[in-house]
Amino acid sequence: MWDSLRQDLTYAMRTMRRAPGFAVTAVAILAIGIGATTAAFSVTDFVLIRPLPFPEPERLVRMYERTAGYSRMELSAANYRDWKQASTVFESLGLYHLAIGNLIGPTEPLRVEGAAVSADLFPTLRVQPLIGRLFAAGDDRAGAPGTIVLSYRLWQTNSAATPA
Amino acid sequence: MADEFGGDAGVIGKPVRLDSESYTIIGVMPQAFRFPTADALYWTATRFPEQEYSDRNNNWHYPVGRLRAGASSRSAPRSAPGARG
Repeated sequence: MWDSLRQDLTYAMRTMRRAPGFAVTAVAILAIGIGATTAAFSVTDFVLIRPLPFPEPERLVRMYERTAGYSRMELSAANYRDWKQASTVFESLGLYHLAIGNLIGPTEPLRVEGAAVSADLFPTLRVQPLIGRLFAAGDDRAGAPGTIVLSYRLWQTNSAATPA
Repeated sequence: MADEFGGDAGVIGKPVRLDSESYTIIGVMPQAFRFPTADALYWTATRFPEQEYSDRNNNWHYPVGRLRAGASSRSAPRSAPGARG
């Protein structure tokens, strides 16, 4: 068996050497094909297959409004409050919206992306801080003093350097 | 203070300015935590004034819910009151 395999390989090598243009093209096509498949799988794996990095991720849902003309619309705060009060299927419900701000220190201001979250969002995700605490019930009321939680990346940053 | 977080645990309780407002640093998230995307570098608490609840067409919030054990995402929309406005 090994003999015939060796003969087959030798024959293949000879054939390729005789037609190097064809051999290079074939290898290149295979390489591109394998590369494309791998890339497509990496994206699929990340987006569709890998679970969200939170406990019991299958119970987490995002909600949208369906309005005339829009099948997926962000929520108004008013509707969110009503949904939260009337809904019975959720153990916990929180909201967030995106934000961008200029973080100002004595040296260089830093333009940073972030999010504003209701106090019940992190408990909904079941996450804990590395150090310090997360938002308490009163922190998200109108007029409460400003509180901020830093990402690990921002925490590691000196503002002289932009966050990597 | 904002010029050197530098991974120092002493940042907790320190003030930073975000735009023109002052905030107290209360916590730091673990390195693996990314929400809602890897671009988010900080989180503040929503502090909506009552007017925010008066306009049902001001749609800019993303709700995230954790279903009770046994509830399915199919049952969620039916149990919520329909969006008005």
